[in-house]
Amino acid sequence: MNFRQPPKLAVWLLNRLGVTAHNEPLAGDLLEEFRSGRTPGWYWRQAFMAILATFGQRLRAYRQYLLEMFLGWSAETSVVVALWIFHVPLGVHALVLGVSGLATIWVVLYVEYRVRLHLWRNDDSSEEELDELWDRVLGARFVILGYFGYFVLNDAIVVLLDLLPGSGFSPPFIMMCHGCWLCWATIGRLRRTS
Amino acid sequence: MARGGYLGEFELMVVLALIRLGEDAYGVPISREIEKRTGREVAIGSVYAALERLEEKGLVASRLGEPTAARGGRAKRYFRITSNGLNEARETQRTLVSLWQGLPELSGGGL
Repeated sequence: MNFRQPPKLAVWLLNRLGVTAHNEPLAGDLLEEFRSGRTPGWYWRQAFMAILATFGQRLRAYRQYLLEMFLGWSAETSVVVALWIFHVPLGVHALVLGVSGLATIWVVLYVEYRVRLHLWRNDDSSEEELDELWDRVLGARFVILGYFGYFVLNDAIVVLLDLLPGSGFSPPFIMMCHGCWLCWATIGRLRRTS
Repeated sequence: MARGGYLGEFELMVVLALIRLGEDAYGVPISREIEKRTGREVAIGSVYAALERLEEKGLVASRLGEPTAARGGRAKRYFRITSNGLNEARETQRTLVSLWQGLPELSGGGL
């Protein structure tokens, strides 16, 4: 039996990017094909495509979370921009952001629940299934709740820093910080969930 | 027609390869079958992604086999077409044939 090894870096990438943990038979298939005479170039192409396909599957699986995060981020960013445009006193920024954040969460939550309730009613779902749906809706909203919790805290810190003389934090810098944090927190959340 | 729309081109290829291969179909033979018929290299990762979507739609079912040393101790995942999958393939064939009929540009081989 042929036990030659595929390119180590490609295998490392497959493992590192979660393809193997996500789909063991796929990694086994790639190895089997490689040992049946395929070239290292073939293995590299397959590994790359497998990573892309896994990434696409995850995006599809978490599209609801991603949409929610985008909605939350957009709402929070709009409020931050409005606060700066209308020269709202810095002291009330955190309060406005907190209240608008909570309002957004509940509006999104309510609308989604109503929409899903309507869709499921057409499916003749049982009461237990509807209860389960409500649990899932609530569970998903905790993602956005977490981000708003961070945003409120972060804005409070930025406001405090702005109150200090000589600190030059501009709105774009704050936006950039939010964006970086959002990406980092999203990746962390998806990794934990998967 | 199953909920979720028509089969995509690649999904249809995977379904037809599964029907050809029968019970013992897994990633490698499925991708080889598609390669043999189309003459193009197929990414096994894309085959698995399509199979996962088809399984979600209830058109394909799978089971895990035994791990083997040749595969680095990893098991094979065997796929088979379900009755819904067969119906879906027939429906897609009927739709495509119906769309094909009466097109002079495609019947003679020239434009």
